[in-house]
Amino acid sequence: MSGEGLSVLALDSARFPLEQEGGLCPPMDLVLRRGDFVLIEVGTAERGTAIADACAGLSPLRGGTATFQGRAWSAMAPAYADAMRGRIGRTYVAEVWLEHLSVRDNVLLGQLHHTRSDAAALTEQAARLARRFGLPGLPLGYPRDLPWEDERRAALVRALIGEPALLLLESPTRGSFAELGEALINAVGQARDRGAAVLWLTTNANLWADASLPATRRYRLVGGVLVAARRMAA
Amino acid sequence: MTSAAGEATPRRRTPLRLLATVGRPVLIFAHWLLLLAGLGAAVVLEATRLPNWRRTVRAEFHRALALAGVGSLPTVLIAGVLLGLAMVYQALYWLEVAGQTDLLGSVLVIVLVREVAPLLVGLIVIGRFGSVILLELGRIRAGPQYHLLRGLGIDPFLFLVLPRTLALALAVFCLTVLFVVVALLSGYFTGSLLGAVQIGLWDFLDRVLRAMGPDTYLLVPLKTLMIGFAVGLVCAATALRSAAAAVDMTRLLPTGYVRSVLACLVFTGAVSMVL
Repeated sequence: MSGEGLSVLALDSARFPLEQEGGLCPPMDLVLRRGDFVLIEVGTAERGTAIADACAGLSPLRGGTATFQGRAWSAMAPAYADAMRGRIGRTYVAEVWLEHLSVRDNVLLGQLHHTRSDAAALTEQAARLARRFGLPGLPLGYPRDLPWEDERRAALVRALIGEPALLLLESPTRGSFAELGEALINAVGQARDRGAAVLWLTTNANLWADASLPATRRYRLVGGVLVAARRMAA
Repeated sequence: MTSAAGEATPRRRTPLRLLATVGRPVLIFAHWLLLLAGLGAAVVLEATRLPNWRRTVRAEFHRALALAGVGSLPTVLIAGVLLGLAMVYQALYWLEVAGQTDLLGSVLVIVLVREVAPLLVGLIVIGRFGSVILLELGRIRAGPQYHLLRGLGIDPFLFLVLPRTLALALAVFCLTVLFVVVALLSGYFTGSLLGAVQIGLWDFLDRVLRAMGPDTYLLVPLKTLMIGFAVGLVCAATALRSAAAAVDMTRLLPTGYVRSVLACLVFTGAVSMVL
């Protein structure tokens, strides 16, 4: 499944703004092809966010290029880059919601904005995903009314809805791996089968070493350098 | 350093310091005006592009229109009734006493329709929806939600600024028309009940409509749309301009409120002077 086909995300001598200005920032090379599942232990949540932001073209690199589906973020016009970001599903370290929208509207926002998919079909897909993650259905209330655990589940639904080409998962289970891990691994597997690439960033060394995660490649970020672990079969 | 040199330095700098003291607020004000002008032009330009009206933007427009229009409706209706009692009834009564009922239409059009109604509705909408814009957008700008929107590939300008500004402009226009109608009717019926009005309802309305020339038909929509547009822009620009400034709601809300009121007054005066 991995290693073949078009590159979804390619980092070519990319120098991430991992540390404050003047800090160590060595170049990084990484290619994610369709179906790849790359797991990186990033050390701190801030580093994970910096990497995810740069991979999504949200923050400029200090050097090198980040390419998404064959085009460098830096060469894209803003409107085009926005459209490309619509193909990325992402979870954040902290729960982030637009407070004036319901959870349903928050979850569907990206898809409703970027696609012409039927809203009812999207709602149905979101409800199916929500049930897989242990929710009774897609929450209709406002984010402030949700308990923390359900916010996390809804955030996973938001990342996975539609057919994202790239999944950027920043500590997606965050302390709830026992409850959410299996459902997430299955959902990620289905996304990979459709051709999505997955970049899972974790601060948890135990999770990183967990053999139940079917990562095709594992790396550790050591002093700003990606150090590859042994290849594991997906 | 000698004492002579020590005294000479501040003397040399005094004119520059004075210039800086005067120039700094002028530059800030000029920068602010240019920002608003640019933002306003961008809203108008982007609103004419059909692809920008995606369903998420349309949903925000509908929501803003419901909040600004329907949400302000009770307040506007009550204010219209009260102003009808205070102004229209008084005009009817005193012009009758003075035997100047021929001036009734002109007085009501000049004072109520052209000046008071747009300004009052503008002020009501600032309180009712301008503060909501400041609060919502301020929170988004100060928190991680702004980053979330960008991560979803949604332009915050198209999603947050454009629909709110246009909805506010449309709401102020519609509410002003309702306000005028309610004020005229409440004033007339109060006068009739108290026996101060000697003319029929249709005659009364006919006099008001006849006093409205083409300039008034142009002024009312122009002024109300501009007031709503300006208030929306000012609130959005105040909230979104800086993440650091948006953190402090105790400063953001009064700053946005004062700027909105000033914008409201400026456009009221400017349009009245031109038309």
